[in-house]
Amino acid sequence: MAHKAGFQTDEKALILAAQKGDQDAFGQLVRAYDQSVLRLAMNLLRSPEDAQDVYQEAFLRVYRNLNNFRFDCSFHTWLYRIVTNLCLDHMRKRKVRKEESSLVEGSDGPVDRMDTVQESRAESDPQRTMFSGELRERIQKALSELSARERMVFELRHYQGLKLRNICESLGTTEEAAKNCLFRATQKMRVALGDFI
Amino acid sequence: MNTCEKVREQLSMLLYGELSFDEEGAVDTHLEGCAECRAALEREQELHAAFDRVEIEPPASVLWESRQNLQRQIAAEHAPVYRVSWWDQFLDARWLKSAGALALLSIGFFGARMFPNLGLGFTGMSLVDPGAQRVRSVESGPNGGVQIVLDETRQRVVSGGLDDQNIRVLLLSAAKDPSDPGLRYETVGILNDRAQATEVRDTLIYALEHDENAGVRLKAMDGLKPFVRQAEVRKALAGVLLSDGNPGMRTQAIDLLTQGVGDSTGNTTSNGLDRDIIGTLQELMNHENNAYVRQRGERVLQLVNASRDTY
Amino acid sequence: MKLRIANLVMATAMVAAAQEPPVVREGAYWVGSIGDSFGIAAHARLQVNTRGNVTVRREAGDQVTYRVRQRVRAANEDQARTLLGGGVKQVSSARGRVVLELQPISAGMVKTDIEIGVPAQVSMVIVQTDLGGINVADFDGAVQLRTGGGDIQLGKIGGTVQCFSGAGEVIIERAGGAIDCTTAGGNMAVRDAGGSVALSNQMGGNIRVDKAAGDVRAHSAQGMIEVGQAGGAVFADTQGGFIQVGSARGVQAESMAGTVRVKNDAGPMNLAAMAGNILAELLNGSHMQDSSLVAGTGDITVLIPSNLAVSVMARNSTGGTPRIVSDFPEIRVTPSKFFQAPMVGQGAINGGGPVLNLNVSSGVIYLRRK
Repeated sequence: MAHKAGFQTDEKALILAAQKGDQDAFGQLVRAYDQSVLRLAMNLLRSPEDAQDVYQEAFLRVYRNLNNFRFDCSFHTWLYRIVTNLCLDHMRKRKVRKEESSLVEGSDGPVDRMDTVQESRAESDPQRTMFSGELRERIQKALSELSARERMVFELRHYQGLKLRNICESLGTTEEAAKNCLFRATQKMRVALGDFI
Repeated sequence: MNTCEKVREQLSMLLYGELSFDEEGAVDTHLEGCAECRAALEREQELHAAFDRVEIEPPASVLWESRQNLQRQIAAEHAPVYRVSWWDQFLDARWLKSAGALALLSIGFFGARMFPNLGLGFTGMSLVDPGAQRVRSVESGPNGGVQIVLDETRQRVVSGGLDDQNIRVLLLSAAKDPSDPGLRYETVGILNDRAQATEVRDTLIYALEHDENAGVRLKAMDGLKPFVRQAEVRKALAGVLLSDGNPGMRTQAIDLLTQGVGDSTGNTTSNGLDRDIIGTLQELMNHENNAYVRQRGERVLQLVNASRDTY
Repeated sequence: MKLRIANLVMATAMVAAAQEPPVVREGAYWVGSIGDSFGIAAHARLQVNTRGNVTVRREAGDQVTYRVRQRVRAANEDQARTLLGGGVKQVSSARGRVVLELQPISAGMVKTDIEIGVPAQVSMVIVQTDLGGINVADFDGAVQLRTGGGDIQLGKIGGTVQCFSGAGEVIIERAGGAIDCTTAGGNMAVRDAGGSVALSNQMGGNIRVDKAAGDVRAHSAQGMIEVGQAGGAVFADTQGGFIQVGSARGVQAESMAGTVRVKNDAGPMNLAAMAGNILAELLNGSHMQDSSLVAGTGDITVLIPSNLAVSVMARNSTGGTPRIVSDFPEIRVTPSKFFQAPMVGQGAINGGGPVLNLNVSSGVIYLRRK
């Protein structure tokens, strides 16, 4: 997600105002990012409740610690540091528990919980729709088999569109390490979906 | 590994734009001459497209709900602050007068807005918990614990006689509240009843000299009238003469300072018309433009046989 | 045609003592005093032009009486007389108005007090004094008073009151008719007016009207405004200070800093508080009209009787956490979009009626059942 230079200067003013207690400015800051944050959390955690927890916790942390933000990285990086930490915590907790399926028992057989909430971007293309159900399942399964770190990097790179150099900042690692992580992730995905594509 | 294997490993990075300029150049060069690798790239592109298809877009309702919850949580952390409520006086039939010797005050500890303390039941959104707290800072404490610094605001009703030291202290601080001249006026009114105490008088003098509202200054003047013989009060009135912008204030000040001068007792000096006051009057004549104040000043100066011009 | 009733010019110094007004010693001071009386037609108006403090009293009988007392500090009688000087004393009359000129020509240090006794048949008393207070204890007719500087104090006046002071208080116990007074600075207070009241305080001071049969207009540059009971509408404004109205038929009040507290019987309310709360109480069975209450930084609280039919349109634009607290289920509160648009509360109480428009920029709106 690219940020134009002009937006950057406005953002600094917003942050400064919010640090002084301007609630409207804080609200604007939140609105600029919260959709992406929610999307990330939902895609990673595959549960609206967990995603909302992450959303709430992340922005509250931002609110409480805003005065500690010293502009030595971008606000986005700082925010995502908080968000990714929270998501990773959730994901690791998940792994420790028995593998949770997003399928729940409905009266007509198993229902993918995510079907009830998700609005897939691909709905409009009829050809895609033909394969989408099974393909979706396969991909989701493949994604769930990635490690938390691999999943995170993949999510940030592919779905959030962040560059590796920004990803590593948020994750607190080197670009090289992030690159390796991404590499492994895409390789696993390729293998899992090889016969389909 | 051979070149093709190496190139195929980089195809994903290529699509993400994460290859360096040189790396990308090398891959492009290879692709130009290798059909198999080009096919591999196409498959990679389809793979990426497939990934896109499974992305979940949060429904608007979930986003909206998240925003509401956040707003609510922040509201709870950002508690409003309360100040003196004169609501009780307003509902009382004697609302035109101050309470007299007994002051019933609702006082918050941080000045800002009034909160009517009605004690009525009501429906709708609940009030912020009067014991609301805001977290000021969080630190790791010893032994893996946490240290949290809290700001707490709450509203209390404090009542008692004006002899009660606590009431006194709160009143003295209310008399200087910068945000509401009405509050200062009411407070000065109550303090006027207890101006025998030096610290109360000091507060009235402060209001007389420094309050930015003429109505409040006039009220303080009322309370200090009985003490016009005292040196600090006279000094304050002299200050009013020279610098108060309100002509009503200056007329009262000069009347108070020079009362008794020129009456039948015939003795000017015993009325405390000391050199300082004379000096003040002389200085006043240089710039006073209100006719009444001028005339009275001139008359007094002549009476004490002092020259109108400073020398 | 000018009809001269009496025309005397007071002699200046060095006239034979027997013909001179008496000068009496009081301690280190000398007091000179002159006085006289004259008749006046029924329903005539009496005007007094003078300088010094003026006291007007009711006079038994049918003559106007006056006395000029002057006090000066002097070593001896001759010096006193020189300082006291003389003056012009003249009575003239034209078109139903009798003018009494009492212009002492004396040194500045002389203190002059003037007393006027007015008989019952005089319809109006007009006093103009260059400098000095004016005091009218008791008079059945109307008064018009003007002083360049000094307090104006009135007791019971049967008719209308008009006055101006260049600086000083205006205190009126009672007037049978309308009151219209202005001071450059100082407190103003009216206990009871049989008509409308207009009080203006140019540089600042507190204004208080306990009771008025008609409209009340009160303007103060700075200071508190208190109106107890108005038979008509109240128009009040101050740059700094609270505004309180106990009862009125319509209120327009504006304060830049301070609370606005109003109890309204009927008619519209237009209340604005830039920095301060608004407290409005609607009275039972009130014939309210469309009203607008606007608070900048401050809360709005409205007390509504249970049986009153009124429509409410409330908007709270406070950033972040706007609140509209309501006792009435008929009022639907739409939450604001996240940190953005104003929160709106609207609804019809008891079927609806005149509209109560409430607007807060930074504060809370409370709609309370009385």
